[in-house]
Amino acid sequence: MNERQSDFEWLQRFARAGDQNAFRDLVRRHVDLVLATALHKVGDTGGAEEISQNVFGVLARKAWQFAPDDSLPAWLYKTTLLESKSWLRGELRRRRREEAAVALGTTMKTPDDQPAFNALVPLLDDALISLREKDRTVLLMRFYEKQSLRDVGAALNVGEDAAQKRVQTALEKLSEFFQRRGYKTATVAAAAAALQHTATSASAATVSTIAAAALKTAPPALAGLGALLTRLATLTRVQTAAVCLVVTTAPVLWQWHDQRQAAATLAQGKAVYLVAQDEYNSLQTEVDQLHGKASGLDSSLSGAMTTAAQRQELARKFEAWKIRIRAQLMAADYQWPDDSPFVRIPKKILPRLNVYAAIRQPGEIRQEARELLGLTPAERETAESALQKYFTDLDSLMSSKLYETNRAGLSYVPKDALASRAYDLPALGPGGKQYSDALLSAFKSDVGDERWQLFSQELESSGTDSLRRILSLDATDRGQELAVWVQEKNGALMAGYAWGDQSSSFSSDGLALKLFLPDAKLSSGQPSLAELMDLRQLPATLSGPALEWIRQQAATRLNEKGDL
Amino acid sequence: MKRVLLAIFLLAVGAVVFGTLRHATAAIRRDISIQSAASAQQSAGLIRLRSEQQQLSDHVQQTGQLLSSQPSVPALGRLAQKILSGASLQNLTAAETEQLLAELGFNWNTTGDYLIISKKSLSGISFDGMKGVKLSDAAIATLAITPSERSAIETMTRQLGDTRAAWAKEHVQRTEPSGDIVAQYSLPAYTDLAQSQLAIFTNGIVSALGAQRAQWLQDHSDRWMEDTGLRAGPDFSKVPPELLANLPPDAVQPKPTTLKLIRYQSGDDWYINCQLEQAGGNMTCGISPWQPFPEAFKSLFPGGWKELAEREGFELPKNFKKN
Repeated sequence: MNERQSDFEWLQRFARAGDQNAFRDLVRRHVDLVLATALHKVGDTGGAEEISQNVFGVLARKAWQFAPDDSLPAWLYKTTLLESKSWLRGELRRRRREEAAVALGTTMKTPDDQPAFNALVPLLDDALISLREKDRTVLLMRFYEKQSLRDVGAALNVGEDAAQKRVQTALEKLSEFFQRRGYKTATVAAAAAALQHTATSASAATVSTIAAAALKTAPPALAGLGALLTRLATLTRVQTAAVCLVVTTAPVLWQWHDQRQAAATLAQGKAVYLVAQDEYNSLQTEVDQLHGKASGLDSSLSGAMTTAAQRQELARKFEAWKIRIRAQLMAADYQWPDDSPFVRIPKKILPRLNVYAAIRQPGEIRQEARELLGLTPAERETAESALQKYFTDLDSLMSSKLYETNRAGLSYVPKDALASRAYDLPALGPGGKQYSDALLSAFKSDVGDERWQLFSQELESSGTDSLRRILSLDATDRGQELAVWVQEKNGALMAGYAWGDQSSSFSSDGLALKLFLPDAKLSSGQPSLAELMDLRQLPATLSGPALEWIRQQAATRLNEKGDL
Repeated sequence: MKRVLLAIFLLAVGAVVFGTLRHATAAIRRDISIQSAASAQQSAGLIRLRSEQQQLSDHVQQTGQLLSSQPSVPALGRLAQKILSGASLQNLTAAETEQLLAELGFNWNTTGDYLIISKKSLSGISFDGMKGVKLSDAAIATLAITPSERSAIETMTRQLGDTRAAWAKEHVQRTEPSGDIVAQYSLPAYTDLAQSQLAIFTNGIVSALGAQRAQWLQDHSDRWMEDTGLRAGPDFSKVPPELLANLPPDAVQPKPTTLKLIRYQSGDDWYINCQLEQAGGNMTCGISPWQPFPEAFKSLFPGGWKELAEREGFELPKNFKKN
């Protein structure tokens, strides 16, 4: 074990376990160094001892700070110098109150006859401080601690020769320091002499006193955090750096790992969130669509149900209305129903009722006639189909026989007529009878015997608007003639007509000729000029050409006469 | 000392790095917390949406089934809607009336001794409402006039007839026969009394039958009112204006009613024509036992042609002797 390792171990034992013996050993080992340094610095033995006590007191307090590679002699030397300076500043202040010169002469031996190395002593500390720590340590151990070369070599982990060589080298550097300061005679030997001269040996009592004083200022043994700090303080720089790196890296790494995990968790959460968000959006869209569809269906269903309910309600009301009307009209105590569109009449009264022009060309049964016959829609359609066929056939037959003449034979034309035209239709003969027989047969088959009797009774009466006339039933046996004319009455041109067959005739002064102009307008409710002239009961084969002749007369004559 | 500084430096750097990392981690954890809350909220939303989606799907399916299973109720026809809307049913078209009669099941074969017809058609059916001072059978049957209603009306028309007869007796003018004219009587226009008499008649039938049937009865009593003088002349209100313009001015003015009986020879036989001149036109007919005596003079000669012949002392044609 080298000395430094020994110093470190002693310091550890003292700092950790409070081993005062170890500290005393340290004091014993290095007290000469401290004492010598202090003594040549302050030149006062008492002061040197006081300084030594202070230095070792500091060592005791800072024992835990030392590392294995720290040089305790070097540290003690520097500390001694600092303590010495401090002591000197205090001493200087005290001495200024005394007479320094006298006191100095009594406290310091500096005989003039001293060898030359004495001149080097004042600069010795500066010289030692200027050396590298290794060189200074070597010199301090060799001269102040009076260690052998072997111990010095052991402390430096080198051999004795090498220690000798280092001591020599350090002495050379020391002498060179002095020579640079003007001391040309400062040889290596002088330097060594100066060191030897300033070295001193402390007595056992001094050592004991210094150690005891130092230990009084030392703190108790360290434990817990202090021990840890002591432990840390004992580490080298590399170890300290390593420990610090370990101490800091572990939590940093743990924190970094924690952060990475958290970030991964966050990223995973975000990814899951995004996937879920996509699903959410998709679902939301689907739900929105379903809402729309459901709303539409609800609306449709509601509408359908409402419509159905309304229709059912309307149907129910209509059915109720029909039941009420039926009950009203078929009641045994039937009374005139003011609120009904229908009335009831006894069938036995039908022969006394007449319908004016019950049939209209070209084949329509008037509403009054169909109701008086109680025709169903199907019966009416059948009857009207037969009528239309009849009138078509009859018109075709009449057209083939019709001719015009300027001389009326069967009808009367006024003598003062301005112009006239007669349309003659000879008896239709068997062809006409064939058509009328077919019609009446179809009608009888359609309506049955009971109603046929009513109908046939109507066919017996003759007159202007009788069924017989409208159906031209007499045209089979009788020729007929329609004459039309224009005459002037009271300054106005009038159109008149006369119809006659071999047994009857009728005539009319007619209408104002101007009504036959193309732009003439009839009053509302008048369907045609034929009806106005009362020609509707005549075959269209006759009335058509006659009306056309009157229109031509109107166009010609009214244009000639102007406003007439 | 250097070791302490180094340690402090390294520890400080480590502490800073640790603190930074810890701060960042804490921020991330806050984000995770926020993220978790959002995810939880999202999960709850997803659960809610899935539930809602399921409910809606079920609802859509059920509603669709309900909709498809709705019974098809045919829409009511336009005619039925028209009837239920309260519209006037007096102006139904011919087609509507026919359809409605079919809906009600009324036709010749379903109504027994009766027939159901529309009131609108009733207007177009011709029958005499009155016969003398009595209601006609057709009017009683078609207008469902009860015995009490009939009695009230006929009492009223009898009184009108009496008034008219008294007036006729007071105002009739006889012209002495000459030449072929065997009898000639004339009544002045009934203008003075006609209006009040018509009002009595109208009010009487409205009172007895109500406005609706009274109107029908009046519409079917045109000729009776002309004959009895309740109307001074023909009713021209329904004559088309095109025809009305062509009528001579005196045709629409009130004028006396004149009865002339004129004898004429035809071959070996002679006959008597009756010529009636009145407002609205003249009428000529040969008298016979079947020819109705002019209503205007019936109150003066209740016995008709025979009474007139006896009073004037002329001989009736041969066909009266055969009956």
